[in-house]
Amino acid sequence: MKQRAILPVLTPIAQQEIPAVKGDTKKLLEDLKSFLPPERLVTKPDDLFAYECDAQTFDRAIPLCVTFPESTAEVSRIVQLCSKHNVPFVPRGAGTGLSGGVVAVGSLVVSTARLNKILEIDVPNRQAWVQPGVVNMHLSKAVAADGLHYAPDPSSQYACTIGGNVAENSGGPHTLKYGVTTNHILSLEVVLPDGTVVMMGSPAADFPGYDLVGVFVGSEGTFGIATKILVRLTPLPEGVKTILAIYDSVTDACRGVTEILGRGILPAAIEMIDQKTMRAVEQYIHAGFPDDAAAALLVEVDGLTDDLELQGSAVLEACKATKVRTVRLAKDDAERAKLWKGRKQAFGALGRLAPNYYTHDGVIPRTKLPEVLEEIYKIEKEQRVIIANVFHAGDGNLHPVVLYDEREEGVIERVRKAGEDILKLVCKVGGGLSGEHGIGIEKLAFMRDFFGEEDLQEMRRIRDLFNPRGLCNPGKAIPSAGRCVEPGPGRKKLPVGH
Amino acid sequence: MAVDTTSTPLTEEELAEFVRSGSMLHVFGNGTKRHHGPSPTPDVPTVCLRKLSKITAYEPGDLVVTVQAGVRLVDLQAELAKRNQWLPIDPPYAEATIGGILATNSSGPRRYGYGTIRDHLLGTRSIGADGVVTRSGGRVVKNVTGFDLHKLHIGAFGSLGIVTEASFKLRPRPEISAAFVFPCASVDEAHTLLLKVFESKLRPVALEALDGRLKHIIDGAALAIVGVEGTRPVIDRHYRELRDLAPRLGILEGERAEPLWNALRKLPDALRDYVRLRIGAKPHELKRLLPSAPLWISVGTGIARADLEPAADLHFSVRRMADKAATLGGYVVAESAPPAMQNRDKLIWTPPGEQPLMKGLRQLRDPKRVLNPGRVTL
Repeated sequence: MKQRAILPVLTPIAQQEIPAVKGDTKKLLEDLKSFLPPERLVTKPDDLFAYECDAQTFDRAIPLCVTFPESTAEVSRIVQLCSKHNVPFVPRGAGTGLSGGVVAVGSLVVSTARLNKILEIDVPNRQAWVQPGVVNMHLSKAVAADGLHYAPDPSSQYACTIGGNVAENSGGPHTLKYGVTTNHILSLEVVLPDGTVVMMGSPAADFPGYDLVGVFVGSEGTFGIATKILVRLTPLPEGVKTILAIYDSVTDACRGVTEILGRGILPAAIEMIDQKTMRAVEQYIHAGFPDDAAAALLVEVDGLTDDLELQGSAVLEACKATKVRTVRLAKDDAERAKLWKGRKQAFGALGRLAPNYYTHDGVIPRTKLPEVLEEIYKIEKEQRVIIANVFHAGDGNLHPVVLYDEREEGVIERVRKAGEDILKLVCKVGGGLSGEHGIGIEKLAFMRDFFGEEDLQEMRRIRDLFNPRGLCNPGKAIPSAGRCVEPGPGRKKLPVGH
Repeated sequence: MAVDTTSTPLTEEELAEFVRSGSMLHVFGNGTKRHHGPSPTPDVPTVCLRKLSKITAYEPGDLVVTVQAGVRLVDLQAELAKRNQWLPIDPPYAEATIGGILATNSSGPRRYGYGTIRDHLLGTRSIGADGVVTRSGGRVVKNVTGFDLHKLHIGAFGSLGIVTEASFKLRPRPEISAAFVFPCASVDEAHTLLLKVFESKLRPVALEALDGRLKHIIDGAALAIVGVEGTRPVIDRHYRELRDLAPRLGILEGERAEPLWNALRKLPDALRDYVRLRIGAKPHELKRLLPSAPLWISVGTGIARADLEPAADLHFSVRRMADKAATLGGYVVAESAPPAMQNRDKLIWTPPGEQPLMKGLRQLRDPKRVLNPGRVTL
């Protein structure tokens, strides 16, 4: 999916928002070389290409260098040097983000790749201290034998890191029942942008004082770098049942979602997958979705085995009360695993249909799903683009994926317009701009549709308290005051090293 | 507009106008927790939010509600119950308002199963010390649009702004609510028993160990309570396995459990002339921090309350306990006290640590310390 660019590309908004590097990069590199061995200080342009963007590829830029600290002390030292030489720095996990949050235009990258240890697992108290570079899935695997897991499960969990999850306040299919990242972070060790190391939160519940953890989680790497993270571990459910409901219209599938929730059932997950996605998935990994249906709901109930039967049949009944074609339980664990693999790798599968994609992740009130989906398909026709929909329907968290080939004349403008139209729709029904992908660079220009200038100013003020000199991931998450430029993918190419 | 005595604004705008007058203000809802935290600075005008009491928006299909800060939780729950939904928190005091619960981060026994009000809060409207109204978060159940500034109000005693409106995600009400009760010889025995339940595969929503001094609930030496909510098969499963753990088991279900849950919500007032300490630690480490006579232990959460007689030298022993707790990774703070003891300089209300950033937040949000002066030590 990721296109290798010869030249870095920045959208107009990124050009406006990300400040040029003014500091002394030469002296910074010299100082870094004094304590970082060459394999932990990447400076060659060829090697730096791997760090030009995240999974959102509109914005691509070459950083000054990429550092690989192995301890909190090293992170602090690197950050202090950046501060000394006035060079911005950008924290980076696995680079699976979808909003351009890690794009570093000539600035330094602090990679957490070597801060990847699980430091302490406290099974009796259901907590674990991890470094930020630990892969989400690795943590769940490490505690599975003890009957525990780390509940937030983004679709990229095979690759994404806990540090990145903290920065983005990541969600995932099972957050419907279990909550998002912020509900599972108990304490943080943070290197502030001036190099100071502070602790936030506590392993003990209801620690008095302000909720610093709450405001740090989701700050998109603009408040500092989390170097140790205390997560809550959740007991694995004793049993799980997965239900597959097949619909002949997307609207009816959306009605299925509201019917399930309206009946007082709280499934662990309700995912919707439309026809285009199912077809792509089937060609790619043969998960078992029918390719002639308009949409499928993947519903999971979990908990004590005693009432799984009840929960499962309640979901079946709810679906039957809507215009469902067929609805059934997954017959065994193998089928269940396959269906979920299909869901979680849907984005990858869609990548085989077109060389580029552009996805939004607006959240809407759940009762608005049927009408909003209908509108999205109208936008698809109007803008002559292809939009696939695969999303966390139970949360109302849309993921319309606009598929395109950037080489096609005029397509970028239509893709951009489709994205704008979808977000206008989300705003109109009282929704949120992003459910889990973050604002990064990509959605900056839309922030004013969702917040007033005074709200944004308050956010800037709090950020500036943590990050007074603005060196930590500048130009991300909150648009700067008094600027307004065109959102979405742009075409302008910049020279290497800008 | 001058603020002399207690004002009761009818609208957010009216309240914002009070704030813009620049005077110091004590803001409260129904005042149920005025003995919590340090005492307010004396002779400061008070503003009561009781009349900001509208449920602004409720769409049952979305399982989301937006309310003004002065709405009483009990009234909100009654409204939600009509649609078989609830906000799954059960903090003390029937009269408590949403704003007050947010400001004090107040929670009850079901915190173990459902989390605190923080876990359900989606967004706020609030008034800053400059009288400017800002929004944070939204009305959708998952949202990373902008920083989570609304979380800063939780437990802040109104010192970082005045919440006027808040949105929450809701849950369907459980089919059956049950309380399993075990008479025990001591609160320590109850604690040990409940830790076993904590370790088991069972999924209770509350694990409370109560000392016999709470005479309005217990007539024996101590009581262990296991709260369970869900369908019939889930309740039955708990009954079977809990009976194996402790044969002398009583069960209260549905309406029969209500008086017990209500009594638990009155717990904080049971011994009101005492200084109440809150002791927090990881669930399995809490015992090492406890004083000899804890009153009430939320075993699954790792929080205990102990009441101490308000002796003149009390703050010395509290400080000793707090220092010890800090070395063990937990904390001891005063939670509430009789007015004479609410002196903020002597008792520990906020543990040390994290203070530069917290002080920075306070300075940024309320540089002149006009919002609820005295109520936080930051």
